[in-house]
Amino acid sequence: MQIHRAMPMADIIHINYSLLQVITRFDIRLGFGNKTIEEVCRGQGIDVNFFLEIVNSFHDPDYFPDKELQNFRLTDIVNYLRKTHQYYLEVKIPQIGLYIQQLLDNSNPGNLESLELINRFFLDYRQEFLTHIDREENHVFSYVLEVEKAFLTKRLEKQVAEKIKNYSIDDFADEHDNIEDKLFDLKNIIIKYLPPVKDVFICINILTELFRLEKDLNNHARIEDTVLVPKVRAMEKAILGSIKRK
Amino acid sequence: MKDIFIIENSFLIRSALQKLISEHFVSFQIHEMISLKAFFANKGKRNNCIIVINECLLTEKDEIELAKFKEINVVKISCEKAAQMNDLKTIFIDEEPVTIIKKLNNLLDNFQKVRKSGNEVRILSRREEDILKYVALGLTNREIADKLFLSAHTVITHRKNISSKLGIKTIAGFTVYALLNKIILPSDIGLN
Ligand SMILES: [Fe+2]
Ligand SMILES: [Fe+2]
Repeated sequence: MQIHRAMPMADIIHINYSLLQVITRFDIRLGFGNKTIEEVCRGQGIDVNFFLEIVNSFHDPDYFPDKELQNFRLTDIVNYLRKTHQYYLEVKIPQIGLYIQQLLDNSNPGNLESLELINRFFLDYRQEFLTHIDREENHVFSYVLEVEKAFLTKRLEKQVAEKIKNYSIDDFADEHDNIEDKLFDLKNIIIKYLPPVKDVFICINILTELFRLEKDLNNHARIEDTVLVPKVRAMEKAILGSIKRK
Repeated sequence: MKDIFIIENSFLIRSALQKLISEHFVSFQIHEMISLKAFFANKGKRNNCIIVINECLLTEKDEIELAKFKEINVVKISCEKAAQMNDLKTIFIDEEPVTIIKKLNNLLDNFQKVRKSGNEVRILSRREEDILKYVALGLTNREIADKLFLSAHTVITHRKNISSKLGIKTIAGFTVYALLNKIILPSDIGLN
């Protein structure tokens, strides 16, 4: 079912409560009464088309972006992706780390070695995760915003064209590595291969968080790959074209 | 193990047990018999099973005979009253159904645990385990192929199978699996 602008905001939360995380990234607070999505977005200064793209792709992994609705700003996308990164770094990863620490605190001589392996795997993963996000935050996003600025203002096109030749969004797309696979492995190792632990609820907590993070990350990466990249690619092309014409 | 033998000469007790057990252990095949003779005559199905037998039908000699089979679990039926007898391996004639089922369940649990430690179900074949070991140690497909005298293509096929069997996609994941299952040792990859 597709979510559309005339639906009450409260309804979409009832349909899929994981969207709570998503609306928070738009700084939408609870208490929206019977206001529709469009009304809430207007009140908050949010591009409603962009909002719909994000909630729909989150709600339905097979949702295909509607070309007509894609005229929103790159700045909006980047802001959303940044908020998401922040949520991973400040909430999700520390939370999972905490649960894994609890697991270690509850170990016994029989499973300590195995639990330490899980911990090591997680710490390595966290490092990889930080590096991945750091690159996007500190290189890719600033590049993307520069491209958009040059595209919209028609200024500094020459300088940006030089940058495009050096590092284009396709280079990013090529080296954009998959950080969901290791999460998938961690889940399966805990589900299938970890020796029994005393407090099974810690494992359930870890798994619940891993499932949620995996779903969120899949969606996040899809927005980077299928929304951000094509838009930047089109702008790069336009900038290079306009330089040639001059 | 899929067989439960009810060996009891009283028709009433036997059919009541049959009904109770068939309702609670749907995946088991239940055989009703009136003496152990019929059990010994039943060739082929005698390993890995549960025998529920009236203690009057079980001599000491029979017990020695039964001990020769692999993984047979015996539960006795006693016509005495259960009062104060906390015997998990005996069903008493005046016990409630829930107690009887609890005893059988408990027996099955223990039974499965013993089996697991003795003969762990293998997920990977010998060859797949060899390949997994080298993957976990960080060798490339080419290097593994050379070591095991296989083509690189075969190694790749094996890796795909290993990945789908284990539900693990990354090399780091394979390494953890290999360590957990002692296919490699921490010292092999410079840990500890
Ligand atoms: Fe990202
Ligand atoms: Fe990413």
